[in-house]
Amino acid sequence: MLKIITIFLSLILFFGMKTTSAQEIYSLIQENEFLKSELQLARSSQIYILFDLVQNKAQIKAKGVLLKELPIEKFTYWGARIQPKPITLKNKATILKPKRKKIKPKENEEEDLDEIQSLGIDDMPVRYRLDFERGIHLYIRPKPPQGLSAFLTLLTYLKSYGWTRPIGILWNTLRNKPFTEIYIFLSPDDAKSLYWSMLEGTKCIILFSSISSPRTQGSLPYRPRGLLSELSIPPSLSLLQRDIDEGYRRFFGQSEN
Amino acid sequence: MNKKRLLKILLFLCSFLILIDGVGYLIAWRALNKKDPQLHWSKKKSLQTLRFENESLKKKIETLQPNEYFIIIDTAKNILYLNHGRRTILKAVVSCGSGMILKDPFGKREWVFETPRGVFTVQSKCEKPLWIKPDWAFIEERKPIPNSLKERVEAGMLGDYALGFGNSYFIHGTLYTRLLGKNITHGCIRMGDQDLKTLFKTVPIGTKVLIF
Repeated sequence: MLKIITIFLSLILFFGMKTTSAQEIYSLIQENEFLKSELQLARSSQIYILFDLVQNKAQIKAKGVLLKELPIEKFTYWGARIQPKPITLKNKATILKPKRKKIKPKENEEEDLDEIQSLGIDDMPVRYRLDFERGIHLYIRPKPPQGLSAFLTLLTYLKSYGWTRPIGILWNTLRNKPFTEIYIFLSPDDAKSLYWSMLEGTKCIILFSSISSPRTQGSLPYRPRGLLSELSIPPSLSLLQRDIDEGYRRFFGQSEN
Repeated sequence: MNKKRLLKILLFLCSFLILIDGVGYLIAWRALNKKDPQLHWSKKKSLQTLRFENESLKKKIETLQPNEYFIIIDTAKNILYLNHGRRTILKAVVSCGSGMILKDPFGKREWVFETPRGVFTVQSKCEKPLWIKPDWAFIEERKPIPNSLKERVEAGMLGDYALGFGNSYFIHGTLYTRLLGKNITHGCIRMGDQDLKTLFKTVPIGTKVLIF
C-alpha cells in the first residue's frame, strides 16, 4: 500500500514538474537577464533608469539604490522584442528644447538676487522622444492629455499608426535593423523629472516581460495594445486586436484571463 | 479632366500607403509573435538553478548598496537626503546648479553651471572654509581677474562647513538662505546652517553621494 502511495506521489511530482509552465521559466530567465544587466549598471558610478513595463513603473537608480520611482500610467508597444539589457540614450528630441540661458555679467550682485534665472525642472518638456541604440524609440507623453496636448496626442497617434510605425518597421526590416517604438504615459511632473534625469549617455533597461513579482506571477508577461484599445473600442470588435490577442495566446499557450 | 487625374493620383497614393501599412503591420505582427530564443535556451537550466542564480544576483546588487551613511541629492527638487541604510536621517532643502552658461568675453572659455550627476564620494571636510574665487566669479562680477591667490580668497561665503565631493564641487553653507530650494548655484550644493552642521558632524570622509 505504501509503495502504491509512494509511486502515486512520485508520479504527481514528476508530472507536476513537467507541467511547470514555460511561462515560469521564461519569467525566471527574463528576471535573470534583467538582474545581470542591473548588476552591471549598479557597479558603475552612473545613474541608470529601469523602465519596468510589467509593473508599470520607471525607476531612477544608482548603486542599486532607488532614487526615484515614477509610476507609468499606461504604455503602448510596437515592433521587435527587446531583451532586458543595458541600452544607451543617444538623443532626446522635443519640439521646444529647453535652452540654457546666458548669464549677463553685472556689477552689483545684490541686484541679481531678485531676478535670478535658471534652468529648472519647470522648463522641462512633458512631450518628448528618447532615442536609444538598437532602434528603440521611447515616446513620453503626459497623462491625462488636456487641451492642446490631447489634440497633439491624437495627431501623434494617427501619424504613428498610419505612417511611422508600419513604414518604420518595413524600412528597418529591409535594412535588417531592429525597430521598436514604445509610448509611455506619465503624469506631467514625472515626465519633467524623467527628462531632467535622462542625460545623453544614460544607461537604461527596458523590461516588458514578466519577472517574478506578486502582481505578475501567473499572468501573461505582456499584452500588446493597439490604437483601437487607445480609443476604448472593445478588443472583440477589432479584427486587428483579435489577431494580436490570438497570436499572443498561441505564443504563450493560455488565455490572459 | 484635371480633377479626374488628381483623384486618380490620390487614389493611387492612398492604395500604395495602405499596401505599405499592411506589409508593415504584418511584419510587426510576425516580430511580436516570433518565439524568443531565450525560451529554448532556458530549457537547459532547471528552475532551481535559475531561482538560485536570481537570488544570488539580487544579493549581489544589495551588497553594492551603501549600508552606512549615504547622501542622496535630488537636483530637480533641490532636496538632500541623508540616509543610514534604509532610514532617512535628514531631509534638507538645498540649492543646486542653475544650468546657466557664462562666456568669457575676452577668451574662448565657457562655463556651464550645473551640478554633476552620478555617484561621488565625500573626499574632504573642512571647517570655516575659505572660498578661492575662480575666474568665472570675477567675470560674472565684471571685475578683472587677479594674478595673485591672495586677491581671490574670500572668507564667510561658504558658511561654516564644506564637504568636497571631487572636481572642486562642495556641499557648503550660504549667505542667501532665502534662495534655498531654487536652482541658483554654480554647481555646488548650498545648505542651510543647521542642516549643514548636522550633515558635517554625521558623515565621515568616504560617504557616498548619489546625485540625480
